[in-house]
Amino acid sequence: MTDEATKENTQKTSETMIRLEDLSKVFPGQDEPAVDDLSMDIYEGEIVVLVGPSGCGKTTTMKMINRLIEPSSGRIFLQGEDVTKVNSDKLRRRIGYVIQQIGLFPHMTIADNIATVPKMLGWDKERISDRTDELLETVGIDLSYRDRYPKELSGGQRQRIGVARAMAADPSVLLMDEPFGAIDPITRDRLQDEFLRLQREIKKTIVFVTHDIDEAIKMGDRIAILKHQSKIAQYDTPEKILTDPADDFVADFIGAGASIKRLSLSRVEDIEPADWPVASLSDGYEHVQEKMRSTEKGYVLLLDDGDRPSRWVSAEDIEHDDVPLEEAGRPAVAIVEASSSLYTTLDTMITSYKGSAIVVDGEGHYQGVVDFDTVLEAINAMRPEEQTRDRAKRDVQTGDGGR
Amino acid sequence: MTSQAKTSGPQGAARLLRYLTMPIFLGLACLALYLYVSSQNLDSIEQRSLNPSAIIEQTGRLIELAGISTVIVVVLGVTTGVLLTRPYTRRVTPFVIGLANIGQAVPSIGLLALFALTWDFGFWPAIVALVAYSFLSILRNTMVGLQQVDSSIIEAARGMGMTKLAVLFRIELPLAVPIILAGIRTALIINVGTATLVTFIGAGGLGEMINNAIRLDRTVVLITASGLTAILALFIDWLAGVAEDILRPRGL
Amino acid sequence: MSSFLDYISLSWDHVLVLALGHALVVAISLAIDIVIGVSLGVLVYRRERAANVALAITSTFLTIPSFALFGLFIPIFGLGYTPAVVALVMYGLLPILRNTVAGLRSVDPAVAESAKGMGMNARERLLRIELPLAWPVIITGIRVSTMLLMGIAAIAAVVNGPGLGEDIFAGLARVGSATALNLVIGGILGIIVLALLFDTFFNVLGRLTTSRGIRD
Repeated sequence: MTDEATKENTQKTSETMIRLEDLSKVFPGQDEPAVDDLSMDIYEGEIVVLVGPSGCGKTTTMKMINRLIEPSSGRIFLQGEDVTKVNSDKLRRRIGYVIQQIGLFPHMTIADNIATVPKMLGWDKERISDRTDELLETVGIDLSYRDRYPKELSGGQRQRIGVARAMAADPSVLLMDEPFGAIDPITRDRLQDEFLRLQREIKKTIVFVTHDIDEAIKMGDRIAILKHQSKIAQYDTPEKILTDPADDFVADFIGAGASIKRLSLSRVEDIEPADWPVASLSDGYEHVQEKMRSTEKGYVLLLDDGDRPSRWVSAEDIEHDDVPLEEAGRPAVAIVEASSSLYTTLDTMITSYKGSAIVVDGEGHYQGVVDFDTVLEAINAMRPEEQTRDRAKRDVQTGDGGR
Repeated sequence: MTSQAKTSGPQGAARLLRYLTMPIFLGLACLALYLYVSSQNLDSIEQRSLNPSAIIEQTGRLIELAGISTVIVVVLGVTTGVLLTRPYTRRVTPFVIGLANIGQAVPSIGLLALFALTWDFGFWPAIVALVAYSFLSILRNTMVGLQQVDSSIIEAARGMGMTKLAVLFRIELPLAVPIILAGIRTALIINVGTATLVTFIGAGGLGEMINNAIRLDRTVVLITASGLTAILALFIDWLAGVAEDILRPRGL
Repeated sequence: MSSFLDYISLSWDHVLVLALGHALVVAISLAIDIVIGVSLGVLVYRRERAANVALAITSTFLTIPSFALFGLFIPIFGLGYTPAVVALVMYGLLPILRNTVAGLRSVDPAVAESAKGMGMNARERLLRIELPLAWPVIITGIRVSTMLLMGIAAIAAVVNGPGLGEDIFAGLARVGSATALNLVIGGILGIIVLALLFDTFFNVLGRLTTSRGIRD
């Protein structure tokens, strides 16, 4: 156990991308530091979310990493190199930076916007052009937008270009300050999902600031919950923070519904689907009726030729074979992908006809059915762990004075 | 910048100082001029030009010309500005503003000459020329000032049942006052400047002293007359600035 | 009317020469103004007190009657081109300075921040981001100065300066003669035509040099 831990530790240290050492910032004219003696390590390839109430100093902390705000004291290490005192302009060309209002240059085309840092670094035209096309594809913007201007784009599109621009010179680190804050919730959700999908490919080290705990839970590999003056209340994985908040501050910050929020961290593919009778549309009425008789469930799911869920039929629906199977019963609509969270699954199930959701893979092929019973089982499996933790915490508290 | 906040504490003192900078500077300039003149040996021509009563009379002339023409042009300009920003004339506005921009290029001396040659030399043609020259400026300021009144405020007022006339006098004009006041100040300064030229069409004023000094090549008189004119113009501008601050409605 | 047309057909070359002189003196003064005004604006736009001082001083220039200023310059610079240019430069400074400051200050802070965050140093930010974005406002200031200088340059004739003012003063001097009015009208029209030409030039230049992304 100890050997593994040491090995894990040394491996992690050699992969430390960013280290903040005793970082402090006092703004002129203020008595109290905005950031007080902050130390933290950020590993390569992870998304670390800095989250906390307004005024806790999270944005100040992030801006000290690329020294848009100069630290009053302390040191910053980037890939092992002390960058506290190096030329700040040159430093920032190695780090991608995305802000809430994006800040695209309105007088330049999209292509020119993206090419800004590569041009400063002296890349040749062809390399820049190829890279621009590559990035546009990566963030899902049509190549024809190269010569358009920011004012012609929607908010969501501008945000994507902002991300593309930050990644143009392929920096190892990205700093993002509430990048999805100024967008409507629907687009924000989509952009978050796309960003996570992107991150799985590019594996950049990302420092992400947000005030939204739900966004932090969704996006972060590790979350740093910051108190006043950027003091770390807890710095851990979302899972651990939700199940084991370090103190009342963290618990309050997570807010009510922590357990339900934890459901967003589990995937439906992780739980055992229920045993459900299925048949094919091409099987014919007799076969389906047989299936119906052999089960207690009262419903059979019909799949099409591609093994995709098509229709639900009850015993009544298939009593008479006057309608073709394709039109019998009701269409199957409550469908979730295997990679969806339990949270999303529960949401789909609540509004479904019979309180169940069909699980399909990435191409839509049938995998299984989950209903409230199966999900409840999975939740209950999490509870014993929680019950043990609660009991342990209470023991510690009563040890203090028996109240 | 409201008049009530003017004299409160250290901030008030700083503000007072800013107001006094110009008069102090002008006073020093006057002193310098006076010392300069007294240090010179003046010949008879110069002595005649530089006697106090002549200076006062010509200064008075200049102020009279500038003052009367400004009053007239404000009345005409604001009225026209109001008329041209009504809903039924709004389309004209950008055209007029564009015209006003080009109109700045018309030389003041040209207008003076035009009126002198087609009408007469003298006081009243000068007044008319001055009015004509500064008209476009105050017209533009009035129109811009009225245009920038938030249309939602006007809508709210009409929605409360105010008549169009009431909206004009109780909402639009008061809200446009700061810009119109600035426009009046500008017109005044323009008129002071143009009034120095009326000597060329026989209407007197300090410009006459300057012109004579040029023609007769009397440097001392030239410096004194030009200097006094400049000081006078700056002083009038300073007074207008103070008045502008006092007259500006609170809350704007 | 007809006499004016006769006059023009006879003396168009004379008017043209004066017009060219007028255009030249305005152009030279404007060029100097643009250099001084924009440079000064770049220097002070971030510093409120310095900006206020600069703006106050240049607006004082505009307040002084042009005739008085020209007069003051005679003992210093003599007659001719020099006092004319010096005075015109002083008059044309304020609109350009004021618009440069206003234009640079109006750049969206998010744009400026993202430029800094990407590692652009101050010089690059100024040249590639802030000035291009402030350019439309600056050009407007240049146009205002041009109009101003067109009118004031006519007064330069009192210091024997170049330009169409010469004709206007000549017309005044010859009051009573047949050509007096024609001289004056010729002078005024010449200036108006020059003003329109210059304004159109800057208008077109402005459009050509302003990025499509910020033109409305």
